[in-house]
Amino acid sequence: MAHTEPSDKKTTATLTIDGNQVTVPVGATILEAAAELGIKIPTLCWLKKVSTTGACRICVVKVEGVERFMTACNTPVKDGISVTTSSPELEIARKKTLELMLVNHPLDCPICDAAGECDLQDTCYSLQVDKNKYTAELERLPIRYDWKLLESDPNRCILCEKCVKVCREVVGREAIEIVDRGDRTIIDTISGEPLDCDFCGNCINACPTGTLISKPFKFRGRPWTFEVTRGICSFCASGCEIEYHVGNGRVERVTSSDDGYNKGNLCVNGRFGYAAFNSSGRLTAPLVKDASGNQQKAGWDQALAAVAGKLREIVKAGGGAAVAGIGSPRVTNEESYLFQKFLRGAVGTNNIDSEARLGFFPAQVVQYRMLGYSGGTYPMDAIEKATAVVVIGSDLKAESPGFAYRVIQAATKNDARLVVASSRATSINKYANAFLQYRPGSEAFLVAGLNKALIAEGLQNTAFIEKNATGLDAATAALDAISFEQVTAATGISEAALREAARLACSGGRTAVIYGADVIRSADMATAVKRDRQPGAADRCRGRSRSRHLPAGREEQHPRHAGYGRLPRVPARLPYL
Amino acid sequence: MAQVVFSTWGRNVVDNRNVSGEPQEVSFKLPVAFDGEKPLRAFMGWDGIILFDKYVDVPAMTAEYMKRVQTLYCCGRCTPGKKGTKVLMDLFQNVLARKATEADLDTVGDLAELLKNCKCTLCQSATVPVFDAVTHYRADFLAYINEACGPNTEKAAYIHKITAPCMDKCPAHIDIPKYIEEIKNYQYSEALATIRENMPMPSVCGRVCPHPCETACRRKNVDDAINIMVLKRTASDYERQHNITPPMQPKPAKGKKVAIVGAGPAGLACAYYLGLEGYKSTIFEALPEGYGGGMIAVGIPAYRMPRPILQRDVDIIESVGSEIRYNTRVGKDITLPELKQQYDAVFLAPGAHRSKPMGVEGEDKGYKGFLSGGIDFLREAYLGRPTGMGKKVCVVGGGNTAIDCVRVALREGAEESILLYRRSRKEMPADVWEVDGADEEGVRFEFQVLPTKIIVDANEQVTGVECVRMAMGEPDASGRRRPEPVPGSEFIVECDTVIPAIGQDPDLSFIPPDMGIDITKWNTVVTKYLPLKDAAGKDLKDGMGNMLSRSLITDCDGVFAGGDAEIGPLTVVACIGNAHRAALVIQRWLEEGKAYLSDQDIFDDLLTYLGVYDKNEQVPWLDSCDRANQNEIHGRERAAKGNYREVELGFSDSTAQIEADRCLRCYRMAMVAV
Repeated sequence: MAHTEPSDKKTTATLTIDGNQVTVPVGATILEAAAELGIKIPTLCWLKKVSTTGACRICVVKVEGVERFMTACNTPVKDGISVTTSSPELEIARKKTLELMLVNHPLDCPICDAAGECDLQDTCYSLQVDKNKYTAELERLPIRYDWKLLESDPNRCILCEKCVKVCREVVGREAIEIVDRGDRTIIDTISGEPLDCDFCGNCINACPTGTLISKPFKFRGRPWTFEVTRGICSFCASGCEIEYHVGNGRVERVTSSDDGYNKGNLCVNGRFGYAAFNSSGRLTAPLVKDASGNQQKAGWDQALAAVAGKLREIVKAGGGAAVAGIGSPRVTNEESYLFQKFLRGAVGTNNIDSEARLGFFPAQVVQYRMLGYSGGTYPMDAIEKATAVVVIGSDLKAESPGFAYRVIQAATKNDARLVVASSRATSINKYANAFLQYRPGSEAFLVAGLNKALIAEGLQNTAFIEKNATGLDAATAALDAISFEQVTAATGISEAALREAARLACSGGRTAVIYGADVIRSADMATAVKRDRQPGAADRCRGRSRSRHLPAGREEQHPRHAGYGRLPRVPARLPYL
Repeated sequence: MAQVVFSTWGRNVVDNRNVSGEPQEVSFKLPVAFDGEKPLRAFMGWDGIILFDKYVDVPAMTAEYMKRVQTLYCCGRCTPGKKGTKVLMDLFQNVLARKATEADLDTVGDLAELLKNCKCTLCQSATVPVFDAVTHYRADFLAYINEACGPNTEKAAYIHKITAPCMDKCPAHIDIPKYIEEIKNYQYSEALATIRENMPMPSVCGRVCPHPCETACRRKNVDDAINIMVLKRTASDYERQHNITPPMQPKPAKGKKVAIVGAGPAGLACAYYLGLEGYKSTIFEALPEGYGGGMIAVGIPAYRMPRPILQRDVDIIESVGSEIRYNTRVGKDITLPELKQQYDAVFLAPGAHRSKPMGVEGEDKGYKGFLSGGIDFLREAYLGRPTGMGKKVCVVGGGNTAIDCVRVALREGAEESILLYRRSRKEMPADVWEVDGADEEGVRFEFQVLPTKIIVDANEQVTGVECVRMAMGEPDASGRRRPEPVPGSEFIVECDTVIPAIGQDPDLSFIPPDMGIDITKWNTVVTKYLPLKDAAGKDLKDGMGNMLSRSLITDCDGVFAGGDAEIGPLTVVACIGNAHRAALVIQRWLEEGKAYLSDQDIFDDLLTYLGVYDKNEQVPWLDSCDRANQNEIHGRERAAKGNYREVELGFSDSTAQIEADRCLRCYRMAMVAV
């Protein structure tokens, strides 16, 4: 038995399934290999986005030469094996297992939320489980009506663990767990207290039966009766794909498919935020003031005509500049584009603004100046493949849960090192290899300190910098001008902690840096942006920006303005400026 | 009573129920009485049933067994296990309640077959004795079903124990399948909590444990053992690398206090478990501050056990409720009778730090370059004191200490490091990977040689060792071939330093002879034991030749002993297991005034004696995932002068998760009727 070091391994395995040969990567499961061949093996507990469980035992297959049945979902393939996925013996084993699963399972399908989209129902139907020779004493377990937004009926539970795994592995909340023993084993909170979690409802999405259900959706309609419209959630910048289920003119629930960009994972806003659409306080028709100044319901033609008429009057009297347009940060990019097009082209004004200016925009300005572009450098799913992740100034789950979910994947499944720098503890801290709790407002110093530590440790990627950036010397000189003592004085973080964080941040060579609202809205950033908004500011600022946090005489060396990291192909002007 | 009435154990049916002639002779590695007193009437477990008493109510025992499996241990995490054992439990309860039918009994065989598809072996293995019972004691079941009076039996009490082959083999009885499953499920903190229930030094035993558990891993019967040790390291590394504060909360202080002699693995483990229960302890340690850990600190080099990581384990243990008084040698700075007087209980865990003599001409002459012993050399090197080592170092011995010495000699700047061992390489008691490690670092080996004389120059400075080659002789009475000197094969190994590393003894000189504490001829402390005997009347003994079930109290009331000084020099994990037990017994002593073993303690010993792992078991499984091994630093530079950087690198979390998924989770439940 070897003690250290794996031996060299083949990277693929070729096997035979039901007489067909298939080659798959080593580590793939029999289930995945069968899927390559288009062979469907029944499963109940398998869920692609989480680790395998092997609980339901429905996916049993026969591997030639192995005396017992193996479960396809969690058995890795082996070169040269021959697998049978369907035989009378396998059918009997699957059927009997289902019969056991149905022992004392409630027969409340008529009023069960999952009816029509229940994996247990479908599997029993397809395997024609119409009898049950097993019996046991009936003991009903209490239904948790006392949870918010969710209801849990453990009697319907088949213990597939999908909900628990999604909660732990995707959401990182670990709010529910498998508790108790034997036939009384249920999914519950560990304390037994009512559920206290993120209420993202991803467990509901994962539940194959009617065990975990959405309270707002209960009795709102049968799943197959809704009109389903695909969309993108606009509650934050994660861009999760969602499906609106609409009946009788109301959105009755929001779901998300595991096949989408966000793998079916939503947050509480995405899943339950649709309540806003059904709010009685929502404006559902245009209102136009009548002669006496009272708002009256109006048709769209009338309303639009009134607006157009007034706009024309104003423009005629005061020119286009007399009109200003304020857009919503909640609308899509396309809608924003059309809005500004309308104001510039039709109305003839450049007075356009949006709440977004107080959000990401200030950061865009600075980032553009430093890097030559204002957005993310990679699609967000690249985060999952990062070898190190640095999160600065953001509680990701609060700000943009889709990012948090991906950071959790990187840290837990792909061995990424995680550095979290924030002025307060964040929801992903438990995954952090280093947590730098800096003084509020000292973000610039924190970043300078990290860069300083990175260079002090000799961790910079010289080849990349030479190829893609200019001004390293200036940056280094600027960083040299600040001492670690100053950084520590400003941030409260020691040099040792910064060096450790820098080492972690550089591990593996693929680092994702994510910054959030605390950086964007730091006083420091606001100063920079205000200056940029003044006529001609862009030119003036370059190379001589000031920071309130810097000691007198140090202005010229502010690290953020030292000019390294500039990339080629700089567009002439910012798209929104 | 020792007569076996009926047995299916090992899938071999012995039926002496209605024999007219001589009953079939069969014996099992079990005592005739569970605790030395209560007769063992029946044993039931994963491999069948054994009846020593024909009046045992087999249907009632079967029903009880299935009820305990289903309600206490079935994890509910697979359908056949969760529901199948429930159906079986209710079925047997119906038999006892006379509500079952004969046809119901057929369901047992049907489910025994179906439960072969279980996720793990707990419920599946539970069907084995149950099916045996229904098959071979059908008449008794039918008596319940059909007759008013039931079978002719006497009531029994039942004691059960959950185990697994690895868990049984681990001297600390860590719940290995549980922590491995938790790692598989990304629950590193939970895994570490599980480990800490029986192992308060996870980062140590995740690195330097000889992992006997892996020799009893059922996955070996498929391909290779699970890398249990490195998975333990993974859990402890995770906590440290994520700056997680250990979650243990000791119970409120209970007022009584315990003195512990020695801050080695045994002393620390005892302090930890007493601390969790609210008993403050004071540990008296001869070494200076910063060297807590006993033999781990001064006997295991830092390239195997990085000191800050060891210190973290020591600090955690101290924070749970103990104080370590360094630079305090019991017997010199404070006496044992003083401790006994000042504390409510005393635990002796001084370890085995005294090097054994080599038995070679010249070793007692005080030659320059002849060092007192391997363990002293390692200690001095670690303490940063002059070791007396020269440039060409010869270490004599074949254990881990000898290997540590040759490897440390290189790191201390030796130009040549030579190991002399009287048997062959594969017979070395040292762990194979340690020998390989020394090899890679450039250690020269001389196998099958016996040092006979120390050669010195006029200044009494060592210049070499005279050796004779050894060859295997004829098998002796026990069938073992012993190495014998080959006449005329004498030769000299040139060196300026000789380090004998052939073993250690406890130094028990601090125990005054008038305290009533007995000491064995191997220089270990005698502790009380249960009178467990086999059918032939012989005492049951453990692998070290000690009495099997010891309560660890000495003949002096209130004084307990453990660790190497009680067991004989062994391993960290053995000392920790032993000290954990001592802590439990000390607690009983402090609370009830009695030092005794619980049924669970005794059952642990019984199972270890019986053996839970069966290397001949056919385990049907697809061998499609190879064992993962940790990476290590390679090259001779790793042993360069002054380089004590850790050589082995542990697992990445994702590797650990895949490795953990190989675990077959071989739980099983044993139950006795007494």
